[in-house]
Amino acid sequence: MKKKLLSGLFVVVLIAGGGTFLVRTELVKSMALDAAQPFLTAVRFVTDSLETVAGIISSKKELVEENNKLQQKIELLKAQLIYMKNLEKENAYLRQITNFVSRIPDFEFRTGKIIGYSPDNWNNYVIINLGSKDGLKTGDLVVANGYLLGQVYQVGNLSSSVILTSDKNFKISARCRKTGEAVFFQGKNLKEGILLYVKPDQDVRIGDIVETAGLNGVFPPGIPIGTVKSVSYIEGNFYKKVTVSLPLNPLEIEYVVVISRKQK
Amino acid sequence: MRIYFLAFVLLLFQMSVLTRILSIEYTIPDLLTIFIILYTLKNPPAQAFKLAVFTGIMQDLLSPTGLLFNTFTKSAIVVVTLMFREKFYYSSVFVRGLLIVAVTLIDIGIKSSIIFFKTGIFEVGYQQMVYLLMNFIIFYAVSVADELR
Repeated sequence: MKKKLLSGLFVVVLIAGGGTFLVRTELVKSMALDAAQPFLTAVRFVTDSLETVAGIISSKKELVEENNKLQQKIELLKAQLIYMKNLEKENAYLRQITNFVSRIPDFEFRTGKIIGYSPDNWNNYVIINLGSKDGLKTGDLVVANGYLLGQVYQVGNLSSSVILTSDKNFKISARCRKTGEAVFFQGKNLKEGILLYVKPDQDVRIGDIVETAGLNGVFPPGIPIGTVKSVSYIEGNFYKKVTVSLPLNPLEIEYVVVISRKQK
Repeated sequence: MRIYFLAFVLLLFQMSVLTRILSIEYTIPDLLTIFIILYTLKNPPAQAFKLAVFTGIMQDLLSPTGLLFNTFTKSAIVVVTLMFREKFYYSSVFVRGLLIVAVTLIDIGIKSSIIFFKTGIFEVGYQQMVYLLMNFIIFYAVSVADELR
């Protein structure tokens, strides 16, 4: 009986120790990501094709209208691009004549596609079809529809995992757009996040946009995360309770942009 | 070996198609849990444990927590299911309902506690209730279909 109990205990310790080692080893985790990538890509391709076919059959008129709207949007963006290019030239010239030293580091932008989602309700992450071969690094920011979607936390050769702003493990230094107050954002659930360590005298207002602070130049500043939903303070507490509503639903997003700092 | 491959494919399906199809209010049912319960009811304990550990580790390898989060809950699910299997007559409507409710509540409790110890946020509310309901409906439908077969 004692021998049986001991051997059982040994198996439990072996699974717990070996398992923890496995799930914390970068190499094994990236191998698991790469093993899942072909299947996830294939499934995404099939579902996308089916959705396209279903869309064509059900509403050709709607597709034509959507296409026209997109064409108009492209033309508008092209015009804005020309304007931006001129501003860029002017900016470069002004910097040259004033000997201005740039404080904003250069960033690279890559477009990727979401191929997988978290299989449970406790972790919020997505898998994208960009990996180390595309130049992705752990810590790169991921943006969708003009908002911060998350941060790359695991990079495989062909795909990467992105922890979403809604995940409880996601934390980032941020600021309020109107008041410029420095805050610390943490995810809570798919609809909202919270601001940590907000002192009673800090000016945080409902409706203000919370954006990345871009401290130390590691992240680009000014990427919106969400909007302040509620601010409350109980007399005697150290900090205010601030909730932030998150606008993105990861299940409705198809394409993302990964922003990474240029390698020198 | 085939069962492990099937579990892996089910995990990948849950990560791709099923999440988008079955999601209600950002909540998805856990088909892997249902699969493990059904497997445990029909197979020897050692085999059920092996499958639970394999599925849990595969899920944990892809998750950002870096903990044996799912391995632990999936093993606990096997223990609870075995207790039910030994003590009750499974085909009873009441027992079947009780089993999935008990297993899902244990799953919610363990996962929420682990997340609380790691992040300081404890959240059991509306989303977890939707999760319980979805697991209940799917488990019931699958087990009835399996019985009819």
